[in-house]
Amino acid sequence: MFFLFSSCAKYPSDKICTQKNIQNPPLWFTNPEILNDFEAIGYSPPNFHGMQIQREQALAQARTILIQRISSLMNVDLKNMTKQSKVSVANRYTINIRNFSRNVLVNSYQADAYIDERGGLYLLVRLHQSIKKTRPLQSLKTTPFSIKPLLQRRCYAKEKLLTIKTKSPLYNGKPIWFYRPNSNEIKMRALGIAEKMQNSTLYSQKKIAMIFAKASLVKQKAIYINSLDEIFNIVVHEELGEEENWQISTKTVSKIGDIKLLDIWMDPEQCELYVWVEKE
Amino acid sequence: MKRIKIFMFILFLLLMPISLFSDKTVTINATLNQMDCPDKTFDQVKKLLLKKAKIKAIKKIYGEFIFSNTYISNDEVLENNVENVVGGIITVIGEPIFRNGKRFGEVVVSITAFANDAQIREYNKSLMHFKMSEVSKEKSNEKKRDFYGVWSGYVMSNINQVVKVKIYIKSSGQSKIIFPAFNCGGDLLVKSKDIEYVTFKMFLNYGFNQCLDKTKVILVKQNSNKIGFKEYDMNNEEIFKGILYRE
Repeated sequence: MFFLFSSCAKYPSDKICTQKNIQNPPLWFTNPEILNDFEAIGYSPPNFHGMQIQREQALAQARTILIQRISSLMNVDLKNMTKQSKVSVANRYTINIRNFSRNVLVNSYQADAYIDERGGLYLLVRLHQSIKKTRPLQSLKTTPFSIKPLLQRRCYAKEKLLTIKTKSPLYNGKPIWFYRPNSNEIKMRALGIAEKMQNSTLYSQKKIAMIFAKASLVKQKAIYINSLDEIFNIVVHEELGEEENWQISTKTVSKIGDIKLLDIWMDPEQCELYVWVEKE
Repeated sequence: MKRIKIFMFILFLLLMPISLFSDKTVTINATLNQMDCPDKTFDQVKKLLLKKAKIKAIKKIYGEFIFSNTYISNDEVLENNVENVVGGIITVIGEPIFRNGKRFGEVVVSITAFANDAQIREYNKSLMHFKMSEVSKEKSNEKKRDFYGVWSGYVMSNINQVVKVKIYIKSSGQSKIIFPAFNCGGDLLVKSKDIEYVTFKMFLNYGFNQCLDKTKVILVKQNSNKIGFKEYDMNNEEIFKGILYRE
């Protein structure tokens, strides 16, 4: 473990330094073979829209892997064409493998997360049935929360920022519940993230974050997934070309009861507001 | 035997959940401060307040519905919608009671509202059915402004070298940079973002011998079609600066 003070400069000249202790990646990331059938890893690259979209993408990918294990239909198409002329013989051979599934996934939740150096997000998603079969996650070394970077960044006026009272300590620059929102695995918990928009207030940003958090809770309970994964292998003469095409569509429709706000945090670099909620 | 049957039937009726035979009734208080609506008359404030109380009552009786749909294609999030719906039919019993709140300028209203079980079940059922079978609406071809789009222009180095640079910020969120003359390019990772500027960290995907990796790129909005570009190395020394224009 080592500490890195990033010289992150706020345009044009002010300097804000956020302290991050960059630690080793988790075991499930370095050794994915230890995962069982009820666990899957989803990945998403950095996204200009912010962390909410990045999380959605990684969660959708992990849930698709889980649903494909439960039920999927595979279709393999082979074509072999030979064209013969007086001058030459052209041989074209294609394999098209299609894997698609359409089903409802219930009781899936984020167990852990990891952000790599390039900002790529990896999420470990589990099914509730896996509780007895999974290894415990390694403990995290945290640093206490400090409001100083947020006040320096000035996302909003000081008196507004002082109302954001984060209780959780930080790990790699984010609160622990960002990585492990469902640490107790008994109550349903989720998080929502809202970016700062033009002319938005802290109140409206929090309202949007809460809606995203409620949607995240609903998705944990049950989510309808329709996915298609196609791989095209084309061999012309002896040259192989490969192309992959995948699509995921998810949908949820549900009634939500009362929820309780457990914690709140604002990213001092992006001014994104994170909320952590629990279903009552 | 007949008496036992009648007795069992009466016992069954008594043990049935009460909600099957009763309406759902709630009493709600809503508050509004007149100073938050300086352009409205007192009557208009009362109307707004009553509307707020009714919405609260609907939420309490019918609950809150969340609908979401996400569409991802080949590493790009093309659509991510979340809808929060609060609705239903209620009846307000009696007259709403208005009074002064604890703080200066505050007005409070109390209402009692109800809906019967059949109404609640019917509304829930039809809303869920409608939303599950809803087809995604066709998106109008709206152009995203702000930093989204393709930007290009010439930038100058600290040794007076002028090169072309191109930046892509897609509506799906992917951001890339290319230096055609150097044959290098890579991904842009957002480090901090505001309405007027964005700070990226650049990670090269190719051209590692020609360009510096892990530099900082800052874009500053000048108008809707023009942004300022600055690039810094890992020691925070300026490498390039210039103006880029929207293509």
